[in-house]
Amino acid sequence: MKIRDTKDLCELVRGDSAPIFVHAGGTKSVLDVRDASDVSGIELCDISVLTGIAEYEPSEYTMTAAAGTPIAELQSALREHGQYLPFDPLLVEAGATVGGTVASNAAGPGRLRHGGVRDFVLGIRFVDGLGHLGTQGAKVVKNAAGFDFSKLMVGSLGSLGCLTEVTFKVFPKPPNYRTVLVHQLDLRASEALLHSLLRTRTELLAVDLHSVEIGSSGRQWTLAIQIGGPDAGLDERAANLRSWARARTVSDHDVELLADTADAAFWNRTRELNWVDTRRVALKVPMTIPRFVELEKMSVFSEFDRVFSATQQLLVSLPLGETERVDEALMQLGLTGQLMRRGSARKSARVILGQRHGGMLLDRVRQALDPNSRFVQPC
Amino acid sequence: MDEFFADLDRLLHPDQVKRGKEQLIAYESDALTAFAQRPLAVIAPRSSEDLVEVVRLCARHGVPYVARGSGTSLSGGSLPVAEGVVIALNRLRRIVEIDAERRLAVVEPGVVNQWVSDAARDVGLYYAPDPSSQSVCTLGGNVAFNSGGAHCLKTGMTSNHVVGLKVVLPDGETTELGGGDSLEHVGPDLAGLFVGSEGLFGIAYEITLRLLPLPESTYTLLAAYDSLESAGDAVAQVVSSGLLPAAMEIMDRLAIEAAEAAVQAGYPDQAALLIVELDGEAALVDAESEMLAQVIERTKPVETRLAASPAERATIWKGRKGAFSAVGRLSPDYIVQDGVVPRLRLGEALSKIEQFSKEDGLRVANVFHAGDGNLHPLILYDGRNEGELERAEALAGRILRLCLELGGSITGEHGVGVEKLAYMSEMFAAEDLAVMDRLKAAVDPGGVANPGKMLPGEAPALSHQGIHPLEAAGVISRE
Ligand SMILES: Cc1cc2nc3c(=O)[nH]c(=O)nc-3n(C[C@H](O)[C@H](O)[C@H](O)COP(=O)(O)OP(=O)(O)OC[C@H]3O[C@@H](n4cnc5c(N)ncnc54)[C@H](O)[C@@H]3O)c2cc1C
Repeated sequence: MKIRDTKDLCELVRGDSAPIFVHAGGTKSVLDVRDASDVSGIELCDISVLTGIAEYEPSEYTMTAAAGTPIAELQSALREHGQYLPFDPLLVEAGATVGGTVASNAAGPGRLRHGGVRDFVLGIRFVDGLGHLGTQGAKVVKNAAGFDFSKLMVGSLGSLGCLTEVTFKVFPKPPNYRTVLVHQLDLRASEALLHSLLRTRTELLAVDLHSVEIGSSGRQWTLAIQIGGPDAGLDERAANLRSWARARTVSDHDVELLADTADAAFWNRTRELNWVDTRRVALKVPMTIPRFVELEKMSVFSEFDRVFSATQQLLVSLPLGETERVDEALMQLGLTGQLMRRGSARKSARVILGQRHGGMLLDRVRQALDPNSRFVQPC
Repeated sequence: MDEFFADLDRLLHPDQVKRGKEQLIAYESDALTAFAQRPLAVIAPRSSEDLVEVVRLCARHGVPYVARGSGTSLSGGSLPVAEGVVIALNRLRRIVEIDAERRLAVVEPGVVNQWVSDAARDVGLYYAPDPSSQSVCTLGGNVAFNSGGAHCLKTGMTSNHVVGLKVVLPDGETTELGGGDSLEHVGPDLAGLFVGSEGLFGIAYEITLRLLPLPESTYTLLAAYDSLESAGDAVAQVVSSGLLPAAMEIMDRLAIEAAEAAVQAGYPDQAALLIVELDGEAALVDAESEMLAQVIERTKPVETRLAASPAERATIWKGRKGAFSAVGRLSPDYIVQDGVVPRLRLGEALSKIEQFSKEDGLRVANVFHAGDGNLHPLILYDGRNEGELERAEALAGRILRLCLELGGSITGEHGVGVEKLAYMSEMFAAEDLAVMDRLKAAVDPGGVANPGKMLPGEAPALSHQGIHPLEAAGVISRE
């Protein structure tokens, strides 16, 4: 059903349809069900009519937008005032929306600097499982009144209610960027660089480690380090970072400096998941550096392109046939993964792999917000 | 109740359960001294295992409880519950681990905020949220209130730094929330939900915190203005310049006077002071500080000062951080309020507060986190004068309503506690409060975890108690 307004949405939830799966009708992200062929037993609810930036006051560092608004629209409004969403949303060009981004907790490499989606949601409007449209949180950057429902919705995958509006905290955007790439690293060198980078006092905007296929002989890694700030001093800072990297690599040729459009293009590819084959799924698995190294040694994902981010998550381009094996492997390691893009996977395919979190508290939250199971639970 | 205490005696050592009247007095109030309630007992677990068992006993016998860290809540959050017990967490004060490599600290809830940064300093890290009470308040309390501080404009509140929690739910079940040791998580953000729940969802018995690298460089600027409004305008200028300061704080004349009297910070004798701080990578701070200096110059301050050394920086902050207690020098009693307004409306809010202060005949000192619109009006009164507490409370209420009218919130960081219960229904619609009630009822069906706080119900009666019992006993002082 394509709703016309929030009243429609409330009525749908109060009715007796099959469990509801909300989408904003456009993205290739995890919540996309547009060309779904196997959604029997599910009520598809298209909220793409709920669009628009409701409030934006640059000097308040806040922006409020309807859940179906494309993130791209938010970003272009923010850009005009030199601001941005610091959690660095994913799949923006692919059409990610406000609601989908929050519900699927889609943060990119820039999360390193100031935090993730959870750190930038201030308030929400949402329809709960009883069909009430409510408001929680506030529209100011600081508020401690009431339970923090806004954070609760981050990563909820539509299971606790349908977001209709979100207020984000926004920040001034660094005016300019530079990226240093360090090529031809083996795992040990990568690990050492990651650790020493995180100990420096350099203000790092993003640090990603990309696997690079080098024919039959296996894989190497490229480390990408982004810094940013006012033009004054930026080139010097970038030069310092480059020297730092050169001092730690075998050959000078292994270190590359990217500026302006090259810098933007590099990170955009990561963010848009363009490096993930469209026939594959993109899997995100939160983990720390030691965990990542352990996984690499166990060769859990050794065949596949992957990016480990210093924001402590691994993104893997995973063939569909592998999900069962990976599910088991993650379970054994006590890790949890979430598909960020389903590719051509069946819509009923599992979205969460490995260990389940939440336990008792989540059960009770569900009981309070959706006692009649009106929303589809991610599986 | 006898059975409860009998079970408790079997579980704990006698010196872990205080029931004598004199022993209980110190726990009757928190830092909101206008409220007092004697608990039936104060129970002090020595280990998290003890703590979990105590919570289970409370659940089984239906005994309501409030967890207590250092009792510095300014909203009555740790006020005892009538016919209930206090679970004192000060003995759970172990820093379990400082992990330099993963930049994490694992702590028990009774650990004092400042200890974490002290312990992490050697490895070049620190814990960012810095409430003014950081030398005494505990991380358990910080988690319950999502406490902030002067530096949360850039680095966020407690919630933004809590990576994982081990909690005992009100019915005694234990559960782990958050991503374990990773900053990212999959599934609804339950750790985020727990932080700020004011003790209504049970007790956190282990907290995993994110640590940040100590800033390489810090630039602290103090600007004095001949009016509060100009100081407020300066904040707007800094914000629109695209800079993201670590902190922006304003103090008005009365607050300056108090701070001067208490710590002799050597502040300029002006109508308003603005403190702006930049921190981070030295090269970046250098570039940004030049921009900041230009912006500030355009705001025509009467005087500016730069902290040239860590000692000078400490002096600037000492006056600001001690401002609350310093106000105690000017008045026998005071109430600290904690409203938030959109930054653009700060000027309007301040002139209204000044007007209210005149109308109600009570002095108000203003200290606030200007960067995020978080006002801390300090309402001075003398509780010995008949009716003055009530007038002060009424003035506080006018200020909170003003914050709501201007599109803000009734609390930025001190929480609702018991103090702001009456204003919850002005900030939230009845149906939205009902959702909160439903959530609370689902998590705590027995209604034993800190009942009567945060969600409006029957507020306890006001009773003026004079100075804080701990202060009367000479345990704490306002200096
Ligand atoms: C002079 C002064 C300055 C202050 N400045 C600031 C400031 O700048 N910013 C700010 O945010 N606050 C400030 N405060 C308020 C106060 O210090 C904070 O709210 C602090 O977090 C309370 O910590 P506490 O250990 O004293 O908690 P308590 O007062 O003992 O308890 C507070 C609440 O936390 C609950 N609680 C305690 N431990 C746990 C636990 N382990 N699990 C679950 N719930 C628990 C209690 O039940 C209670 O509801 C200030 C207070 C004073 C007196």
